[in-house]
Amino acid sequence: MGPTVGDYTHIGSLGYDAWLEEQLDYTRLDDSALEDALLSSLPTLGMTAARLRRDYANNPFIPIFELWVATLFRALYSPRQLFERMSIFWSDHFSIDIFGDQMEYLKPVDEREVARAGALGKFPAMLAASAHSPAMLVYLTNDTNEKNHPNENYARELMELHTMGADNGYTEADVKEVARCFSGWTWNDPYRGANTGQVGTFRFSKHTHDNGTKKVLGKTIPAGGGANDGERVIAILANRSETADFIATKMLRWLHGYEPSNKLVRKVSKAYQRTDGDISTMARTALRARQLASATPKLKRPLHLIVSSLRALGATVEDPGEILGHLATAGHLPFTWTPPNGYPDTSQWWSSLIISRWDYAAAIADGKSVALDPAIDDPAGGATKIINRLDTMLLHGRMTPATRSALDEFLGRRKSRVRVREAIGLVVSAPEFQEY
Amino acid sequence: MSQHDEHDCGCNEYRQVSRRNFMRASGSMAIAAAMPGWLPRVAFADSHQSDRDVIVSVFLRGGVDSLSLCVPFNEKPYYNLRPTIAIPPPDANSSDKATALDDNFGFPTDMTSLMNAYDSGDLLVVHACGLENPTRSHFEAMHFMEVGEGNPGSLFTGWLGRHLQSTAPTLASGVMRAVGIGYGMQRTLVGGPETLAISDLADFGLDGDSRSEKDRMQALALMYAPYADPLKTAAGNTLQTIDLLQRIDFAGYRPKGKAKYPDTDFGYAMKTTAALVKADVGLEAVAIDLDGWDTHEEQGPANGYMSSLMRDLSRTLAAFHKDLWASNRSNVATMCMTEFGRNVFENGSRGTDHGHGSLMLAMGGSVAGGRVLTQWPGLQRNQLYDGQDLQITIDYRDVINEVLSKRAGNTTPAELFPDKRFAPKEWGVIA
Repeated sequence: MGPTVGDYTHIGSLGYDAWLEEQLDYTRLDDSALEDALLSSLPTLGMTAARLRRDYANNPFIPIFELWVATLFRALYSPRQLFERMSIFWSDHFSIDIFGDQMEYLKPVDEREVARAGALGKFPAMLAASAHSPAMLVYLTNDTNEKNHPNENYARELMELHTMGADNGYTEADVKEVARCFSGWTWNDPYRGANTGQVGTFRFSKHTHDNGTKKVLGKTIPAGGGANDGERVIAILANRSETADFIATKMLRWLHGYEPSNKLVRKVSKAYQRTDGDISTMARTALRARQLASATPKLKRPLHLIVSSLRALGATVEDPGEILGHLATAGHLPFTWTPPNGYPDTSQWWSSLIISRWDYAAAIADGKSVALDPAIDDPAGGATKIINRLDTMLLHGRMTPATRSALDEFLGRRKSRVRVREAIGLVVSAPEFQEY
Repeated sequence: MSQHDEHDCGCNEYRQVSRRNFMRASGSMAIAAAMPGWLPRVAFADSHQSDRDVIVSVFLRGGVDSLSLCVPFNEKPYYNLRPTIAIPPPDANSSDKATALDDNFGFPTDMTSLMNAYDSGDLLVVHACGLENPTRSHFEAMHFMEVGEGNPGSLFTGWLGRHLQSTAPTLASGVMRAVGIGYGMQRTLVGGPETLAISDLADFGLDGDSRSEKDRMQALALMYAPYADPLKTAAGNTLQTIDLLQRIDFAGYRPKGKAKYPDTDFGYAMKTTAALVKADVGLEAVAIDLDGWDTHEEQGPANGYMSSLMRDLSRTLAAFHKDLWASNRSNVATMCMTEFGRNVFENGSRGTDHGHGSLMLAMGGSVAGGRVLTQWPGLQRNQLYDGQDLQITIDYRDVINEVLSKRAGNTTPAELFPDKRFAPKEWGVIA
């Protein structure tokens, strides 16, 4: 989520492609210090849904808050930067609104067991995990999809948002048939008599499952399949070339640029088809230096802006609540996007709230919520020296002439520590820092 | 993000070349020329009154108990099912009795500040109105209502944002077509061009030390002037809006007609809205929230919690009415809505739980007011929604659609509410 000064040295000596391999082989990057610290101060991170519900019935906000803080701290401090970046991608792909009914104890588990468990693993496995996730079943109302009362909500989004893409090779009849296959896929709901220990786990209800013959995308699913009908659908969808194309395109938009070339989409889609949806292989294909040469700038989303600036500045976050407040003002508090399509990844959407970025930048520069190394705001030397230091640190030599002359004028002869801090805020506010 | 940045660090020719070309194309001449005039000199010289209404959308969050706010005093079930919290009928011998609006409905004491607007024909109550979706979740219902969808879909822009998007601005040089007063933009306005979320109109500017604010604005203007869109336009509009608002004297604003706004957040937001409307800067829409209507316990519609909320609502709207009308600015259409109503029966805590049908208020010079508009469904058990709630007989979108199409130049109702299941009806909201 944006390099630190140390990352630069490290990548410089290792070489970019070797660094990419290191990031892809993420289990060998030791994040235990971070994870231990998080688990000990944010105990809800490791809890089951039943435990979260039992222990936090009167404080449902605590698991939500702890998940926000963990998301921020992992993005900030984890050595597994690519993994974190992909976790956010999948969390958006299988988006669930944490303010929804009962989500305070279901969504934290979903985040852990779907997006984070499979971020660089196999896509079909993650798809299956999501289909069994009580949070998803409740969010897309499949928990009330029954033989005699069909509900197509999940079936539709499964095809439109999770696998094949809108209007891409399936019909309304397929949606209805998929809904029949998933009838009875529900969960142990405390309001429908689940016993306390099992609350929040997947449950197949064979009495409400439609056991007739179904036909999905031309494939017959014979009668009597029970819970296996849904599993069959997941396998069918994961194997479609439309799914490979859709996931490849979306991943490239995330990692590479808003409009990836058809050639590159084909390449990444082939990687999916060749490896049964291995996300790591797809990411490698998208991110090799050779491919990255054609990448075009994208607008950082607010979380990315915040994390990249704090990493570049080597800042210590003293009050995560304050950073979360900035995310909320910028419209990017994690897991609070209400529709199932996830936070947008477009420049048009995020540029309209630009003042929230400037306000965040001013706040970190005045040092109330984060601690900065005193060398950073040292006013000694001429304006050029200060500007060069900020350019290297935050923009890696990419400062535009316009920003340079604006800073020069701003610093003028008033080079107090306060003024330099304000200049840091301006660099974080600069248009070239909004992009990556 | 790391991948690209790291790439730049290893082999950054691409980025440097493109940046250099970009700078060459925009050119230092362009930067120099853009600068002095770039911070605007719009505003008052360009001032302009439109024949369209300014739309003020007030969201009463939490689920308003419509049966307390506009009392159906001829309904026996209302009194039977609410032994402790019903508002007595107008002919009752009680200081809490309702004030009749017509033969069937009345305002409780703390809504009566609005009687003047009502009697002048400027205030309309639309009863048994709301969002036709069965959800009883605040978040879901607010979401559906603000995006303008009756059922789950993938819309995420708001109806008022789409309205602005699909109509031409009333003032071509305007930099601020709409404002959402609050922390973060109301969903209602999302998608609107030249639209900002501002918590306090009188104090909008860059965070940080105010002594360096002008210098920092100047620096940002310089940085963004030669940059590419959409960042350049977004930055430009924001800086121009700051400049514009800082030149309006909100602190010295004196309402007309001896209007007195209550000393509350809502009163303040509406007062500054009035000042902004009168500044004639091309403002077309405002979204404001009044929170706190989730009255599960000790509701107190006569002398308690809810009555103080209604007092804030009615006194503020009454002051807004007096102020604007005395300034000949009755071309403002204010609509108040809420995500759902509440159960017809009271619960065990002298409150009411989440229900279904509710009401809307519409106020404006063009509103056909002075009446309660309703297709009243009745409160007998067999007339209730789900056996417990007021039914919805007027879709809230009908009201919005009529106001926006007749008074705000909207000619594309299908874009306003792109929901195949919704066929707008006209109920005579506008005179």
